[in-house]
Amino acid sequence: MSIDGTAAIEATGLSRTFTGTGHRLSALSDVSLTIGRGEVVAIMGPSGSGKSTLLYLLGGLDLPDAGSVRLAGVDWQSLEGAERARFRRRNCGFIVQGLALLPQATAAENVEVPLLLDGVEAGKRGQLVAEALERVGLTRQAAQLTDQLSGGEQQRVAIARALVLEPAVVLADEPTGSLDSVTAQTVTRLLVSAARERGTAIVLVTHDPAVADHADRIVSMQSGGLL
Amino acid sequence: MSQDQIIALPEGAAESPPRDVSTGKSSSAAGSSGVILWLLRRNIGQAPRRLALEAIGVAFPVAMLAATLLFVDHAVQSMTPNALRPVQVEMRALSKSLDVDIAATVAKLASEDGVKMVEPFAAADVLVAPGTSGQLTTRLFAVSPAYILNHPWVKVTSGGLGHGALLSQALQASPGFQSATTITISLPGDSPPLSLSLPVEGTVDLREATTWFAIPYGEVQGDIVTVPRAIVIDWATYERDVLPVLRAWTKAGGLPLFDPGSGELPPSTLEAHVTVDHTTYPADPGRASLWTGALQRALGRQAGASFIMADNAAEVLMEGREDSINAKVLFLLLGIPGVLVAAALGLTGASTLVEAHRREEALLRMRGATSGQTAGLATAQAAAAGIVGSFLGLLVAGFGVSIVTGRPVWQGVPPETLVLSVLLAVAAGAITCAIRVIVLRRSSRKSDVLERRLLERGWAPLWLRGRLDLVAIVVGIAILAVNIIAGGLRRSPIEGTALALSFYVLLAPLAIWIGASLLMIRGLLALLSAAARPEHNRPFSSWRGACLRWLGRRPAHAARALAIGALAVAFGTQVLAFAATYQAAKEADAQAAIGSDLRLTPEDPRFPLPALGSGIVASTPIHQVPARSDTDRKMILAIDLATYLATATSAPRMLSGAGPEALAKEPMGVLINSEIAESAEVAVGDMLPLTIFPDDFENARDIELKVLGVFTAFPPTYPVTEIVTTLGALPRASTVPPDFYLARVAPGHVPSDVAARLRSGPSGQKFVVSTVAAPNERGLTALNLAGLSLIEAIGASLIAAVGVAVLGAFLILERRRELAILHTIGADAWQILTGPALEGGLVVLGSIAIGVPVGLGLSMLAVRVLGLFFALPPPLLVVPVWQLMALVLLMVLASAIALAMALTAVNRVQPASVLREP
Repeated sequence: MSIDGTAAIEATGLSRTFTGTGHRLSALSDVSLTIGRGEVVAIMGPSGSGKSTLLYLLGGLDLPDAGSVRLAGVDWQSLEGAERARFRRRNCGFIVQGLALLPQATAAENVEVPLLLDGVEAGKRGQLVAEALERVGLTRQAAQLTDQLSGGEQQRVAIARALVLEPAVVLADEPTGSLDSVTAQTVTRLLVSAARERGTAIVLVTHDPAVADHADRIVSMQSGGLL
Repeated sequence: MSQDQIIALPEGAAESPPRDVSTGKSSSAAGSSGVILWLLRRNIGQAPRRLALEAIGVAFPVAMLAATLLFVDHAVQSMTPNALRPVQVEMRALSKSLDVDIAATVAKLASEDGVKMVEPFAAADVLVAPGTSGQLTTRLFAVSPAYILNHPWVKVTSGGLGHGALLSQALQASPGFQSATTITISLPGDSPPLSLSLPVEGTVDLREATTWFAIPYGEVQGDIVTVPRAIVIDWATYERDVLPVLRAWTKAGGLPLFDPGSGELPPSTLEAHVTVDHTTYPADPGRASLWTGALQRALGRQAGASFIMADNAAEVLMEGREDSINAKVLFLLLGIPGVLVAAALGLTGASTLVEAHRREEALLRMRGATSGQTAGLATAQAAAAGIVGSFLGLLVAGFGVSIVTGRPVWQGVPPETLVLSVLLAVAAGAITCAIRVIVLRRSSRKSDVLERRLLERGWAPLWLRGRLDLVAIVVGIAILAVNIIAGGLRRSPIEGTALALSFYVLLAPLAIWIGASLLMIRGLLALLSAAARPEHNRPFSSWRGACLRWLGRRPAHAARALAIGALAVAFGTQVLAFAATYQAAKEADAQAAIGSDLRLTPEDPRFPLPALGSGIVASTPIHQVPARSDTDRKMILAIDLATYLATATSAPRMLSGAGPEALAKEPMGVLINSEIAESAEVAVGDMLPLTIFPDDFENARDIELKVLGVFTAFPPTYPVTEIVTTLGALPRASTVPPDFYLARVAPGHVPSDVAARLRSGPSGQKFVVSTVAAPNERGLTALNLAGLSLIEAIGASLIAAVGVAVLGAFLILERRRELAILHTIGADAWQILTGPALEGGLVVLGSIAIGVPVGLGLSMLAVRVLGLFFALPPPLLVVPVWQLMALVLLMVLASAIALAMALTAVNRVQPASVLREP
């Protein structure tokens, strides 16, 4: 639901089919979904129900066979190449499943990368990185490489990175999948509160009902469709 | 190659599991083999590019070694003909007495296989007079007119040989002989009476007929005796009129029998000269040396006990054998670095498949495959790649060598030699395959996490941990130090012409090549690592700066590619620079051989040197004065010092003492070569007793000259200069005409143009004008390295480029997730490609920056080691700028193509599909 008249995400009639050697698999079929600005939506469903496929289509990492996705009022299909990358960088934070960080970079560097790619001046970058890490409680770990961080810390770095450019939407694919339940709750709370502070919408793919409880709305999927 | 293709086999296997694998039980050997073959067929069918990658990894070392060995085979084949070229008569059947049937012997010897022709020959010391008085001691030679036609080194300068006599130029110039129309031949001492009058039919130039004046047998076989006068008469006349008298004299005890141990020319000799067909000698001088010994024995049996067979080819073939061994060592040591770096490339390439192999093995084990079956499959795959790669490598090497040598590699090479070369090259491929299998098996036992950490951070390969770079440099320096202390890099009198390459000495450049290249890579890694320390925690300067910093934290792949590239470029640079320096040294030797820009040799020694025109700034006469030092015959180069110094274009290579300038201060001074210094045990400051004109009884004289300097080469070096003094020290020499003249062309003039002008002018009728003389080349300095250097340089460029391709493959295979994460962060295509492009570019530039200076340094070292083979010191280094630029350009272009292919593949990474992967 739109807060100021423009939905954060507006997906209409999305379909996606994968073809392999002699196989056709319909991952998503005629899915429509609207997410308002600042809204937190959890997508739940069994494995293979199309949750991740939907998330990647919403983030413009994949293109639908049919239908369209408008993010912050802009249709992904109207963007090409560098323009699409720039739009994603500024409007869409991603937290991917599993190893979400650049392994060769420190915590601070991981957060700095979107700012650097966006041409933010070095002094400003330092300030924004410090604020982002402070917000997720990782100031002291700034200079640590990612494999020196715990799973929870890594996800907090991923959250800081996803939010550092204050995007309209954060798309998170199983952000707590590899964490214990206590840490999962902490991380989810952190993600949701940080997003709410900025009015950022969150799409949260999860299997965990406890995580989904933090959402404003829960969308269930099965066999490539919304229930 | 995509990940999907690499893991196609286990997926296929999962769909249709082989019976033995699915049972998980040990199967019979036959059943197990069947399963392995089935899996192998599936693997090749579903992932052919994997087989291709593995095969290329084998093909490179096989091709590099095969090319080197085939080139060696080709080069060695030319050594026997080169060695035999100066031999005028291969075998001489020397009669112990004059009472033999030489015609029958000639017929018997001619029947032997390999013998081209046999001709009778006789020589005797006689007295010749232009009339009835004024006799002069003269050497008489008797041959058939056909002999003169068959041997161009006997030059009839006027008239022709019929039933009369040809006078040597010196005899014809003697008082009373200039206008003589007949001569009278008699025998000296108490001989039976002989008074043979023959018409003078012309003149003959015997200056090149060295065989006729060579000691035929014994310790000093081959030493040239300079007799002042000679005549040539027809064999039939000799046999009819002279031989019976000589036989009678022998029977009377007046003429001594042939003494095989004598250091003098026999007063009378009766011989059969055997010309051997050069094509029947084995092409390899080592085999030819054995073959000529066998032929000598066979001819000796044919000739019978009355004859001694002298083999004139034996010594040069023995030298040729040494040179062929040296050439093999030289070529192998030039080529072995290429084989090593190619093998390293093959192993590095194999490591790109480690991840795929681990996944494949894990899936097979899930299906119940035993450890033996997985090991068998890995071995079978390696064997298949080895067979394909070896075939490919041999094909490329054979094709490449055929192109650069201009003839098929198998032509003229004995089959067994060819087979040995092929087997050795295939063995190199097999060893590479075996090491690859071991590497793969060991890698498959490591956990993913450990492997990832090893790959991503804290990379410390064996060479870095074991300080191979420092060890190799220390070993190389130690070898050189030992060699320098032992005098190995200085030309010493002892070595003389028997110089041999020590294999261990040439290991020094090899060790330093590895050590220096790796040390520079260690330095570069240290710099990158220092700049990449996480604790610095400072904002990036730019995206490129970020990529560079991250490279410093995980340098493994780039460093591997850099090591391959730097070693390959260093190798290619070394080969090119060495070949160019080698060529320059050969040209300098050729220049030193002639002594100046031009050499003018009079057709008749009496011809005076005409005015040479404006293209010549200086000329000098050269007198070759026969002499004897103790029992050895030597040739003194008597020079006019002032004009010599103005004319000579090459400086002598002095071992000790002073150079030719010192002869100005010491008129009775002499410069001697190192062999004389050694054999006569004289040094600088000593007096050297000599007999000049020792075989000219009327003019022989004993003198003593003070040794001022010892040289290893003194231009002109052809024929070999043994003793040098001024005409002032040998007044008698001034009375005979110069043997030849040297001339130096004016600046801005081209020697060949001036020579052409002189040839077309009046002096061209009376003088042979030459710009290049055949230096006294040992087989090694006669080698042409251009072909090998071309092959090796192209190979090096391709190896370096494939190293970059391997790096690209690593980036595609192992950084897929990272690239996908960058997509999610909002990096555009250029930003994503910046990192891989930077790594590839750094590898290419680093390879050049490290490889070129290391290669140039190494070639300087190699030139110093091999410089002993040249008459003059070779230049410090000749940098073949254009060839090096071509090498670098080829490497950059090939790398750019490889990198572009990798970046294209990186750009095709679908982030959504990668992020779905577990």
